[in-house]
Amino acid sequence: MNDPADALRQEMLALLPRLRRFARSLAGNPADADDLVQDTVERALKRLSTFETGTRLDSWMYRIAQNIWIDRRRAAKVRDAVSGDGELEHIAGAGGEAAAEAHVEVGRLGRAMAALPDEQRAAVALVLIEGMSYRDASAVLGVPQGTLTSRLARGRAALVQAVMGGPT
Amino acid sequence: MTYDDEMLGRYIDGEMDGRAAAALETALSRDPELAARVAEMRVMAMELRGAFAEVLSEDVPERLRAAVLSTPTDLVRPAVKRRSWFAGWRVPAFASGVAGAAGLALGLAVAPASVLALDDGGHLVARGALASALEGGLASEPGGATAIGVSFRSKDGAWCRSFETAADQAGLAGLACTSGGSWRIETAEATTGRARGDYAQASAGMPDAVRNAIAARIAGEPLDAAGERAARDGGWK
Repeated sequence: MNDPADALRQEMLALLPRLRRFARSLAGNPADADDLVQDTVERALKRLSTFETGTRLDSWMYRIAQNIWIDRRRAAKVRDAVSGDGELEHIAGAGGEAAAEAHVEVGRLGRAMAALPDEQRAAVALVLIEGMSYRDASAVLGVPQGTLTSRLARGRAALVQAVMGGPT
Repeated sequence: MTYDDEMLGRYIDGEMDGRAAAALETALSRDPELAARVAEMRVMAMELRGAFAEVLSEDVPERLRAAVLSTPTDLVRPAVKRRSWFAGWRVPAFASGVAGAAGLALGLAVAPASVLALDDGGHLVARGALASALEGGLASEPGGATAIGVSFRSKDGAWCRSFETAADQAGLAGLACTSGGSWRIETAEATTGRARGDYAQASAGMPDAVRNAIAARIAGEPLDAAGERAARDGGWK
Protein backbone atom coordinates (compact mmCIF):
# COMPACT_ATOMS: atom_id res chain seq x y z
CA MET A 1 0.00 0.00 0.00
CA ASN A 2 1.47 3.48 0.55
CA ASP A 3 5.04 2.21 0.09
CA PRO A 4 7.04 5.13 -1.28
CA ALA A 5 9.27 2.60 -3.00
CA ASP A 6 6.41 1.14 -5.03
CA ALA A 7 7.34 2.78 -8.32
CA LEU A 8 10.98 1.77 -7.97
CA ARG A 9 10.03 -1.79 -7.09
CA GLN A 10 7.98 -1.98 -10.26
CA GLU A 11 10.89 -0.63 -12.27
CA MET A 12 13.16 -3.18 -10.61
CA LEU A 13 10.83 -6.03 -11.50
CA ALA A 14 11.04 -4.96 -15.13
CA LEU A 15 14.83 -4.87 -14.86
CA LEU A 16 15.18 -8.39 -13.48
CA PRO A 17 15.66 -10.17 -16.83
CA ARG A 18 18.48 -7.82 -17.84
CA LEU A 19 20.01 -7.93 -14.40
CA ARG A 20 19.97 -11.72 -14.58
CA ARG A 21 21.70 -11.60 -17.94
CA PHE A 22 24.39 -9.27 -16.62
CA ALA A 23 24.89 -11.48 -13.57
CA ARG A 24 25.06 -14.55 -15.82
CA SER A 25 27.81 -12.97 -17.87
CA LEU A 26 29.77 -12.14 -14.72
CA ALA A 27 29.23 -15.35 -12.80
CA GLY A 28 29.00 -17.89 -15.59
CA ASN A 29 26.64 -20.38 -14.03
CA PRO A 30 22.94 -19.68 -13.48
CA ALA A 31 22.78 -20.52 -9.78
CA ASP A 32 25.63 -18.20 -8.79
CA ALA A 33 24.21 -15.55 -11.09
CA ASP A 34 20.76 -15.62 -9.50
CA ASP A 35 22.31 -15.50 -6.04
CA LEU A 36 24.14 -12.41 -7.18
CA VAL A 37 20.90 -10.89 -8.46
CA GLN A 38 19.17 -11.59 -5.17
CA ASP A 39 21.98 -10.00 -3.15
CA THR A 40 21.94 -7.04 -5.53
CA VAL A 41 18.20 -6.50 -5.16
CA GLU A 42 18.38 -6.75 -1.38
CA ARG A 43 21.28 -4.36 -1.09
CA ALA A 44 19.66 -1.90 -3.51
CA LEU A 45 16.41 -1.80 -1.57
CA LYS A 46 18.13 -1.50 1.79
CA ARG A 47 20.03 1.50 0.46
CA LEU A 48 17.29 2.90 -1.71
CA SER A 49 17.63 6.33 -0.15
CA THR A 50 21.03 6.64 -1.82
CA PHE A 51 19.54 6.22 -5.28
CA GLU A 52 19.34 9.59 -6.99
CA THR A 53 15.93 10.12 -8.48
CA GLY A 54 16.18 10.96 -12.15
CA THR A 55 19.29 8.86 -12.73
CA ARG A 56 19.28 5.44 -14.35
CA LEU A 57 18.10 2.71 -12.06
CA ASP A 58 19.65 0.05 -14.29
CA SER A 59 23.12 1.62 -14.11
CA TRP A 60 22.84 1.91 -10.36
CA MET A 61 21.86 -1.72 -9.97
CA TYR A 62 24.51 -2.97 -12.39
CA ARG A 63 27.00 -1.10 -10.31
CA ILE A 64 25.80 -2.72 -7.10
CA ALA A 65 25.92 -6.15 -8.76
CA GLN A 66 29.42 -5.51 -10.03
CA ASN A 67 30.63 -4.38 -6.60
CA ILE A 68 29.16 -7.40 -4.86
CA TRP A 69 30.69 -9.66 -7.46
CA ILE A 70 34.14 -8.10 -7.14
CA ASP A 71 33.95 -8.37 -3.35
CA ARG A 72 32.99 -12.00 -3.60
CA ARG A 73 35.79 -12.77 -6.04
CA ARG A 74 38.28 -10.96 -3.87
CA ALA A 75 37.22 -12.95 -0.82
CA ALA A 76 37.46 -16.16 -2.82
CA LYS A 77 40.93 -15.24 -4.00
CA VAL A 78 42.06 -14.64 -0.46
CA ARG A 79 40.61 -17.95 0.68
CA ASP A 80 42.17 -19.58 -2.32
CA ALA A 81 45.59 -18.16 -1.57
CA VAL A 82 45.31 -19.28 2.03
CA SER A 83 44.06 -22.79 1.43
CA GLY A 84 45.48 -23.37 -2.01
CA ASP A 85 42.69 -25.76 -2.89
CA GLY A 86 41.40 -24.06 -5.98
CA GLU A 87 38.18 -22.87 -4.42
CA LEU A 88 38.20 -19.89 -6.75
CA GLU A 89 37.51 -21.95 -9.79
CA HIS A 90 34.59 -23.52 -8.07
CA ILE A 91 33.09 -20.37 -6.60
CA ALA A 92 33.46 -18.31 -9.69
CA GLY A 93 31.72 -20.98 -11.65
CA ALA A 94 33.88 -19.11 -14.03
CA GLY A 95 35.99 -22.13 -14.46
CA GLY A 96 34.44 -22.41 -17.86
CA GLU A 97 33.42 -26.00 -17.38
CA ALA A 98 30.66 -25.07 -14.98
CA ALA A 99 29.34 -22.51 -17.42
CA ALA A 100 29.62 -24.88 -20.31
CA GLU A 101 27.88 -27.68 -18.48
CA ALA A 102 25.04 -25.45 -17.42
CA HIS A 103 24.62 -23.97 -20.83
CA VAL A 104 26.14 -26.00 -23.54
CA GLU A 105 25.08 -23.52 -26.18
CA VAL A 106 27.26 -20.85 -24.62
CA GLY A 107 30.06 -23.08 -25.79
CA ARG A 108 33.40 -21.70 -26.81
CA LEU A 109 32.42 -18.08 -26.29
CA GLY A 110 31.09 -18.81 -22.82
CA ARG A 111 34.31 -20.49 -21.87
CA ALA A 112 36.33 -17.64 -23.29
CA MET A 113 34.20 -15.15 -21.34
CA ALA A 114 34.75 -17.13 -18.18
CA ALA A 115 38.48 -17.12 -18.78
CA LEU A 116 38.69 -13.32 -19.07
CA PRO A 117 40.00 -11.30 -16.15
CA ASP A 118 37.04 -9.98 -14.13
CA GLU A 119 37.60 -6.38 -15.16
CA GLN A 120 37.61 -7.19 -18.85
CA ARG A 121 34.60 -9.44 -18.53
CA ALA A 122 32.59 -6.69 -16.86
CA ALA A 123 33.49 -4.21 -19.59
CA VAL A 124 32.57 -6.69 -22.32
CA ALA A 125 29.30 -7.56 -20.58
CA LEU A 126 28.17 -3.98 -20.19
CA VAL A 127 29.04 -2.76 -23.68
CA LEU A 128 28.72 -5.78 -25.93
CA ILE A 129 25.93 -7.67 -24.18
CA GLU A 130 23.99 -4.99 -22.31
CA GLY A 131 24.53 -2.45 -25.07
CA MET A 132 25.61 0.41 -22.83
CA SER A 133 27.46 3.45 -24.06
CA TYR A 134 31.10 3.81 -23.00
CA ARG A 135 30.07 6.68 -20.78
CA ASP A 136 27.39 4.73 -18.92
CA ALA A 137 29.53 1.62 -18.68
CA SER A 138 32.48 3.52 -17.22
CA ALA A 139 30.12 5.10 -14.70
CA VAL A 140 28.86 1.66 -13.69
CA LEU A 141 32.42 0.42 -13.20
CA GLY A 142 33.59 3.63 -11.59
CA VAL A 143 36.58 3.97 -13.91
CA PRO A 144 37.61 6.61 -16.46
CA GLN A 145 36.38 6.07 -19.99
CA GLY A 146 39.91 5.41 -21.22
CA THR A 147 40.28 2.57 -18.75
CA LEU A 148 37.00 1.09 -19.84
CA THR A 149 38.01 1.37 -23.50
CA SER A 150 41.29 -0.47 -23.04
CA ARG A 151 39.74 -3.21 -20.90
CA LEU A 152 37.08 -3.64 -23.52
CA ALA A 153 39.64 -3.83 -26.33
CA ARG A 154 41.67 -6.49 -24.55
CA GLY A 155 38.61 -8.52 -23.67
CA ARG A 156 37.26 -8.26 -27.17
CA ALA A 157 40.55 -9.37 -28.71
CA ALA A 158 40.63 -12.47 -26.52
CA LEU A 159 37.07 -13.35 -27.43
CA VAL A 160 37.68 -12.88 -31.16
CA GLN A 161 40.66 -15.14 -30.83
CA ALA A 162 38.52 -17.78 -29.14
CA VAL A 163 35.74 -17.65 -31.72
CA MET A 164 37.93 -17.46 -34.76
CA GLY A 165 40.67 -19.70 -33.49
CA GLY A 166 38.84 -22.91 -34.31
CA PRO A 167 37.63 -25.60 -31.92
CA THR A 168 39.37 -25.73 -28.57
CA MET B 1 46.59 6.11 -40.61
CA THR B 2 46.75 2.77 -38.83
CA TYR B 3 43.90 1.48 -36.77
CA ASP B 4 44.28 -0.54 -33.61
CA ASP B 5 41.65 -2.80 -32.04
CA GLU B 6 40.60 -0.09 -29.64
CA MET B 7 39.70 2.23 -32.50
CA LEU B 8 37.97 -0.50 -34.45
CA GLY B 9 35.96 -1.35 -31.35
CA ARG B 10 34.98 2.28 -30.94
CA TYR B 11 33.77 2.28 -34.52
CA ILE B 12 31.73 -0.90 -34.10
CA ASP B 13 30.25 0.30 -30.82
CA GLY B 14 29.12 3.58 -32.35
CA GLU B 15 31.46 5.59 -30.15
CA MET B 16 33.42 7.19 -32.98
CA ASP B 17 32.47 10.63 -34.23
CA GLY B 18 31.15 10.98 -37.76
CA ARG B 19 34.29 12.25 -39.47
CA ALA B 20 36.56 9.64 -37.97
CA ALA B 21 34.05 6.93 -38.82
CA ALA B 22 33.87 8.13 -42.43
CA ALA B 23 37.65 8.06 -42.68
CA LEU B 24 37.74 4.56 -41.26
CA GLU B 25 35.10 3.40 -43.72
CA THR B 26 37.25 4.67 -46.56
CA ALA B 27 40.15 2.74 -45.15
CA LEU B 28 37.98 -0.39 -44.80
CA SER B 29 37.01 -0.22 -48.48
CA ARG B 30 40.67 -0.24 -49.45
CA ASP B 31 42.12 -2.62 -46.91
CA PRO B 32 40.64 -6.16 -46.98
CA GLU B 33 42.66 -7.21 -43.95
CA LEU B 34 41.30 -4.36 -41.87
CA ALA B 35 37.78 -5.10 -43.11
CA ALA B 36 38.20 -8.76 -42.12
CA ARG B 37 39.27 -7.75 -38.65
CA VAL B 38 36.17 -5.56 -38.23
CA ALA B 39 34.00 -8.37 -39.53
CA GLU B 40 35.48 -10.79 -36.99
CA MET B 41 34.80 -8.38 -34.20
CA ARG B 42 31.23 -7.87 -35.34
CA VAL B 43 30.59 -11.60 -35.63
CA MET B 44 31.99 -12.22 -32.18
CA ALA B 45 29.80 -9.50 -30.63
CA MET B 46 26.75 -10.92 -32.38
CA GLU B 47 27.47 -14.42 -31.16
CA LEU B 48 28.12 -13.18 -27.67
CA ARG B 49 24.81 -11.34 -27.52
CA GLY B 50 23.11 -14.39 -28.93
CA ALA B 51 24.69 -16.66 -26.33
CA PHE B 52 23.23 -14.61 -23.50
CA ALA B 53 19.96 -13.64 -25.16
CA GLU B 54 18.10 -16.66 -23.87
CA VAL B 55 18.45 -15.44 -20.30
CA LEU B 56 15.98 -12.70 -21.16
CA SER B 57 13.29 -15.15 -22.15
CA GLU B 58 13.68 -17.39 -19.12
CA ASP B 59 11.07 -17.17 -16.37
CA VAL B 60 12.43 -15.02 -13.58
CA PRO B 61 12.69 -17.18 -10.42
CA GLU B 62 9.97 -16.38 -7.90
CA ARG B 63 12.51 -15.75 -5.13
CA LEU B 64 13.94 -12.82 -7.11
CA ARG B 65 10.52 -11.28 -7.67
CA ALA B 66 9.78 -11.77 -3.99
CA ALA B 67 13.05 -10.06 -3.05
CA VAL B 68 12.09 -7.05 -5.17
CA LEU B 69 8.61 -6.84 -3.70
CA SER B 70 9.30 -7.52 -0.06
CA THR B 71 12.81 -6.44 0.93
CA PRO B 72 12.36 -3.50 3.31
CA THR B 73 13.80 -0.20 2.13
CA ASP B 74 15.45 2.61 4.08
CA LEU B 75 13.09 5.21 2.66
CA VAL B 76 11.36 7.28 5.32
CA ARG B 77 7.65 6.75 5.24
CA PRO B 78 5.35 9.75 5.23
CA ALA B 79 4.74 11.11 8.72
CA VAL B 80 0.98 10.83 8.41
CA LYS B 81 -0.72 8.12 6.51
CA ARG B 82 -4.44 7.70 6.21
CA ARG B 83 -6.00 4.46 7.15
CA SER B 84 -7.91 2.95 4.33
CA TRP B 85 -11.08 2.55 6.33
CA PHE B 86 -11.04 6.19 7.19
CA ALA B 87 -9.66 7.52 3.94
CA GLY B 88 -10.88 10.95 3.02
CA TRP B 89 -12.96 11.15 6.13
CA ARG B 90 -14.06 14.67 7.01
CA VAL B 91 -16.25 15.76 9.88
CA PRO B 92 -18.51 18.08 7.87
CA ALA B 93 -19.63 15.13 5.81
CA PHE B 94 -21.12 13.65 8.95
CA ALA B 95 -22.43 16.83 10.49
CA SER B 96 -25.97 16.14 9.42
CA GLY B 97 -28.04 13.48 7.81
CA VAL B 98 -28.67 9.82 8.30
CA ALA B 99 -25.93 8.74 5.93
CA GLY B 100 -23.44 10.78 7.90
CA ALA B 101 -24.50 9.23 11.16
CA ALA B 102 -24.26 5.76 9.66
CA GLY B 103 -20.78 6.51 8.39
CA LEU B 104 -19.78 7.76 11.78
CA ALA B 105 -21.19 4.70 13.49
CA LEU B 106 -19.13 2.55 11.17
CA GLY B 107 -16.02 4.55 11.90
CA LEU B 108 -16.50 4.32 15.62
CA ALA B 109 -17.20 0.62 15.42
CA VAL B 110 -13.89 0.04 13.71
CA ALA B 111 -11.92 2.43 15.91
CA PRO B 112 -10.48 0.55 18.88
CA ALA B 113 -11.34 3.24 21.40
CA SER B 114 -14.17 5.68 21.09
CA VAL B 115 -13.16 9.25 21.72
CA LEU B 116 -15.89 10.83 19.61
CA ALA B 117 -19.65 11.12 19.97
CA LEU B 118 -22.56 13.03 18.49
CA ASP B 119 -24.16 15.57 20.79
CA ASP B 120 -27.87 16.33 20.84
CA GLY B 121 -27.46 18.86 18.07
CA GLY B 122 -25.82 16.31 15.79
CA HIS B 123 -22.35 17.79 16.19
CA LEU B 124 -19.32 15.65 16.66
CA VAL B 125 -17.74 16.22 20.06
CA ALA B 126 -14.77 14.85 21.98
CA ARG B 127 -15.41 12.21 24.62
CA GLY B 128 -13.36 10.18 27.03
CA ALA B 129 -9.61 10.49 26.88
CA LEU B 130 -9.71 13.03 24.08
CA ALA B 131 -12.09 15.31 26.00
CA SER B 132 -9.87 15.03 29.09
CA ALA B 133 -6.76 15.87 27.11
CA LEU B 134 -8.40 18.88 25.47
CA GLU B 135 -9.66 20.08 28.82
CA GLY B 136 -6.58 19.54 30.92
CA GLY B 137 -3.58 18.78 28.68
CA LEU B 138 -0.78 21.18 27.91
CA ALA B 139 1.40 21.28 24.81
CA SER B 140 4.19 22.42 27.08
CA GLU B 141 3.82 19.29 29.21
CA PRO B 142 3.36 16.43 26.78
CA GLY B 143 2.30 13.10 28.13
CA GLY B 144 -0.58 10.71 27.81
CA ALA B 145 -2.12 9.21 24.76
CA THR B 146 -3.20 12.49 23.17
CA ALA B 147 -0.79 15.20 22.10
CA ILE B 148 -1.97 18.79 22.18
CA GLY B 149 -0.62 21.04 19.45
CA VAL B 150 -1.55 24.70 19.28
CA SER B 151 -4.17 26.44 21.40
CA PHE B 152 -5.74 29.74 20.40
CA ARG B 153 -8.77 31.98 20.59
CA SER B 154 -10.98 31.76 17.52
CA LYS B 155 -12.51 34.70 15.69
CA ASP B 156 -15.89 33.95 17.26
CA GLY B 157 -14.46 33.83 20.76
CA ALA B 158 -14.17 30.08 21.32
CA TRP B 159 -11.02 28.32 22.47
CA CYS B 160 -9.55 25.93 19.93
CA ARG B 161 -6.87 23.31 20.26
CA SER B 162 -5.29 21.00 17.74
CA PHE B 163 -4.70 17.45 18.85
CA GLU B 164 -3.43 14.08 17.76
CA THR B 165 -4.52 10.89 19.43
CA ALA B 166 -2.37 7.80 19.70
CA ALA B 167 -2.85 5.02 17.20
CA ASP B 168 -4.57 2.80 19.76
CA GLN B 169 -7.07 5.57 20.50
CA ALA B 170 -8.56 6.03 17.06
CA GLY B 171 -5.45 7.65 15.57
CA LEU B 172 -6.96 11.03 14.80
CA ALA B 173 -5.42 14.40 14.09
CA GLY B 174 -7.81 17.30 14.31
CA LEU B 175 -8.96 20.59 15.68
CA ALA B 176 -11.52 21.00 18.45
CA CYS B 177 -13.14 24.20 19.71
CA THR B 178 -15.18 24.91 22.85
CA SER B 179 -18.90 24.98 22.31
CA GLY B 180 -21.47 24.89 25.08
CA GLY B 181 -19.27 23.06 27.54
CA SER B 182 -18.00 20.47 25.07
CA TRP B 183 -15.10 20.32 22.69
CA ARG B 184 -16.65 20.26 19.25
CA ILE B 185 -14.58 18.58 16.56
CA GLU B 186 -14.09 21.08 13.75
CA THR B 187 -12.10 18.74 11.61
CA ALA B 188 -10.31 15.46 12.10
CA GLU B 189 -8.48 13.03 9.95
CA ALA B 190 -7.39 9.49 10.56
CA THR B 191 -3.66 9.08 10.92
CA THR B 192 -1.45 6.27 12.02
CA GLY B 193 -1.32 8.23 15.25
CA ARG B 194 1.85 8.66 17.18
CA ALA B 195 2.77 5.07 16.67
CA ARG B 196 5.89 4.12 18.52
CA GLY B 197 9.06 4.98 16.78
CA ASP B 198 7.88 4.24 13.29
CA TYR B 199 6.96 7.72 12.26
CA ALA B 200 8.19 11.22 12.58
CA GLN B 201 7.03 13.55 15.32
CA ALA B 202 3.29 14.24 15.23
CA SER B 203 3.63 17.96 14.65
CA ALA B 204 5.62 17.37 11.48
CA GLY B 205 2.68 15.51 10.04
CA MET B 206 -0.23 17.82 10.81
CA PRO B 207 -2.75 17.15 8.06
CA ASP B 208 -3.48 20.00 5.69
CA ALA B 209 -7.13 19.95 6.72
CA VAL B 210 -6.15 20.72 10.30
CA ARG B 211 -3.69 23.40 9.31
CA ASN B 212 -6.33 25.00 7.11
CA ALA B 213 -8.94 24.83 9.86
CA ILE B 214 -6.57 26.60 12.23
CA ALA B 215 -5.79 29.29 9.68
CA ALA B 216 -9.49 29.87 9.04
CA ARG B 217 -10.35 30.30 12.71
CA ILE B 218 -7.43 31.79 14.54
CA ALA B 219 -7.68 35.33 15.89
CA GLY B 220 -4.22 36.71 16.59
CA GLU B 221 -1.45 34.42 17.73
CA PRO B 222 -1.53 30.97 19.31
CA LEU B 223 -1.08 30.85 23.07
CA ASP B 224 2.40 30.58 24.47
CA ALA B 225 3.09 28.15 27.31
CA ALA B 226 2.09 30.61 30.02
CA GLY B 227 -1.05 31.66 28.18
CA GLU B 228 -2.00 28.04 27.58
CA ARG B 229 -1.65 27.19 31.26
CA ALA B 230 -3.64 30.26 32.32
CA ALA B 231 -6.45 29.42 29.92
CA ARG B 232 -6.49 25.82 31.08
CA ASP B 233 -6.50 26.81 34.76
CA GLY B 234 -9.31 29.24 34.00
CA GLY B 235 -11.41 26.38 32.58
CA TRP B 236 -11.41 27.68 29.00
CA LYS B 237 -13.91 30.41 29.79
